[in-house]
Amino acid sequence: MEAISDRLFNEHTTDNLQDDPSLLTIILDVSPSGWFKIQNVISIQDVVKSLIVYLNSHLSLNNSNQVAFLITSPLKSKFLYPKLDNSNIIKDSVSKDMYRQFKIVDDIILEELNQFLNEMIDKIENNKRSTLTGAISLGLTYTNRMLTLDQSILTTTASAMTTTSLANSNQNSSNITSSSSTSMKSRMLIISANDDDDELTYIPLMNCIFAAQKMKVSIDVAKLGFKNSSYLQQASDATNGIYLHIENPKGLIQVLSTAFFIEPNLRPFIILPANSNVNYRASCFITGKAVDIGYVCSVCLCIMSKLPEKCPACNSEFDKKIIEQLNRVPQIRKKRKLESNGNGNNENNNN
Amino acid sequence: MSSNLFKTTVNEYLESLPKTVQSKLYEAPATCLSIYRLLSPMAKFYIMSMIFNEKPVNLRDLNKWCKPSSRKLEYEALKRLKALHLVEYDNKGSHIRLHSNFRKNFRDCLTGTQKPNAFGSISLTNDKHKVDIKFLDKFASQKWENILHFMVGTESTTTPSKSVLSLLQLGGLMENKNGLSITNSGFQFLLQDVNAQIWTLLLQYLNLTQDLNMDPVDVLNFIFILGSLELGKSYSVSSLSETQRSMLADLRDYGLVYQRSDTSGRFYPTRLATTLTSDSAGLKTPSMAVEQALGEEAEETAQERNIQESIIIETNFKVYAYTNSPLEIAILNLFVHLRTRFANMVCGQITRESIRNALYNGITADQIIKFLDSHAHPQMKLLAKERLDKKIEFDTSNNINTAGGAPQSKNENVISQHKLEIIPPNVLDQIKLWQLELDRIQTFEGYLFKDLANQQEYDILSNYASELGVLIWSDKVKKKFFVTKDGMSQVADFANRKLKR
Repeated sequence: MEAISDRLFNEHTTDNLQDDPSLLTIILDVSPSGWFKIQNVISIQDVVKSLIVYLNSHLSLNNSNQVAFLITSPLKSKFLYPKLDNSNIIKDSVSKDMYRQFKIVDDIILEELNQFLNEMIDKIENNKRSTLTGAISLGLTYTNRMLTLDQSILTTTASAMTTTSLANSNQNSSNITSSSSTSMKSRMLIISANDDDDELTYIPLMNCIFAAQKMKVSIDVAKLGFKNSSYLQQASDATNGIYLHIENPKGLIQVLSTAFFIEPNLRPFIILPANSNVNYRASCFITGKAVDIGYVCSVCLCIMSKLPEKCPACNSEFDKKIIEQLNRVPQIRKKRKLESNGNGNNENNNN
Repeated sequence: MSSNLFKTTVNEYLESLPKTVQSKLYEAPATCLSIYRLLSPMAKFYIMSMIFNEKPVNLRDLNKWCKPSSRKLEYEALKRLKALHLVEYDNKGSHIRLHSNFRKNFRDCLTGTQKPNAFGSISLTNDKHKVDIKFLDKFASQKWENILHFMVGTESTTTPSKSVLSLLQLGGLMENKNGLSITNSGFQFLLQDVNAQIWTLLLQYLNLTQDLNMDPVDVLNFIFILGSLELGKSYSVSSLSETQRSMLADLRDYGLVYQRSDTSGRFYPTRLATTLTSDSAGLKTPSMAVEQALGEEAEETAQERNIQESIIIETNFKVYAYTNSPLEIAILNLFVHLRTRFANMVCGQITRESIRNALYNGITADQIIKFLDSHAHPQMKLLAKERLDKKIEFDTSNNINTAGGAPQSKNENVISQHKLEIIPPNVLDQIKLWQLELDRIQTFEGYLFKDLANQQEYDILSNYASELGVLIWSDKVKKKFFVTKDGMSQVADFANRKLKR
């Protein structure tokens, strides 16, 4: 009897491989330096081609699937799709030879991308930091809007968007639909060729990661270029995402359509590509450089690569004696590390 | 879940088609896309992973994607794909590849390089009698509701056309005993959501076409193309085949397409058609969206909208429904013991008897629950949402998870979440329990494995069977176990492979 009753009551939990619609946010980092280094291997053009096919395949999964496409450069981050003013959409949607949902998305992305790259050529300056974290926050805010607030998610086609915007006036229904739209799932894919980790701002990135964790958004990372990015590795590791360093990006579409094609509702059932050695490096609060071994303030846990008199974040004063001890000579430091690990105001911290 | 019911029925129909017909179907990109959408998420993933791969994929590589605990999903996905002939096994059975036509067409569809007009040819000229989306929505809901109302015998409904009537009879939804009357399966039909209803009729229609010597491939292609058309745009009739043109008149009767007159050179798909291949979450919508659009229009239609969401259920099993539509009352009467009727409201009680009656008629507990869920009064939904918010807040402030399951089980990536409970939980459980009362004995067809050589052999085989989800019963001491009919071949293969060594 027990077995039978279990079956009826558990049916939903075991079979909950629901085909919920999902939102895919793609963030493409077009920082020129990174792409310049791999110019012999692959160009932005080729990557965008693959990405567009990838977007199409995401849209083909489900009628109500949504996509967003963000671009980030040292200059600024911007939404390519959805476009803020959707004036041209209606005109573009008449197409003879392609499924219209694909056509709309693809056309807008290509058009906007060209425009963006042209603008960038004129204004680009050196030594600017990446705005990738800004793009992630933009993507997350958009996700939040789609997941909880916006009703247009419930409509099945882009063309229906116009009709439901009318329905916003109806208060009753807006309350209800917002609650039922929680079945929407979301994930994010970052494509970056940027090899220099220090260009990323550490603290905003961490904040983004925490926000993503809370919203249950997985951050997938496709890293082109020559080096692993430890910060992005951490981002995908913390959010149950997939991090892949693609050294040979020629067959990018195959990687995209397998490893990066795992929908959020499939994740519990599939073995994700392994992310074995994540480097949990943090960034120094004073210099902004990544540190492997550094000092940690015992009050606010701020991380430093060298020892100041006061903590730069919380202003608490450190014990001068200990600072002296720590600053003296390397041999003593080594000894201390072996002897005691756990008292004193400041101590060596080994990540 | 019943929301996915239409998918299974459509899939089953497609699987039952002969291989040659299936192969022909895969020649149309629109059909490939629609069939792809009807598959399970796991199957979709497998197809996508193979679509850009030129070489056949080793089955063992495919297995590696799956966690051992979800073998069952993988097994089912592959079974489905095989039945649809979407994947082909090579001679040894170790490698698989996609059906070549499907692969080519679906890939073309994704990359946008297929032949022009694969997704219907849009009329570029302006229509003198142009109609807007609102009109189409109204047209569709009128036609469709008319059919439903006719089924329950609402007065003052016009009789639907002959083709609709014959479909209803053929599908066993109505029967002719001095005048048409609704059958039990007809009532079940009413409980489904609109999409499932449409598909039920369309599948009947498909059965009918074979008698009329229409090409089922042509018919299916047209249905699937309809699903990918754009709402509010007109499409030209001239590019359709003869068969498809003759279908237009029938589809017009169901409210799937709008055509101003028989001779008009263009047709408009309605929302019922464009959402044919989309599913659950999107698909509470065709009716809802239709009503929303209409609700804007006039007060009286707005009232009508409320009728759809009018049921209040109390924890003491009392049901109040603010409705006077015979359709709704007839449906409620299936599983509620109705007591009193007022001008704008009916009251009733859910009892063991009333539910059992419904169950005897072949209605399932899930269907009842789904119906109550989707027709609950806005006030009930608001309350449920408030309760949910409170629970979540409580959990976060106390840093625990009261939703059930061990809070420390970190290896499970899915943290059990609170669900929105619109129907009082006690009522929900009780309805399920009443269903359980009825099926104390279940019968399965299958095979018994016995006389196994040793304990180890038994362990290997029974574990494998339970991973696949085909194990029904096992006895460790007697070293016997029982597997379903479907799983037999798989387990036997496995046994042959393992035990030879």
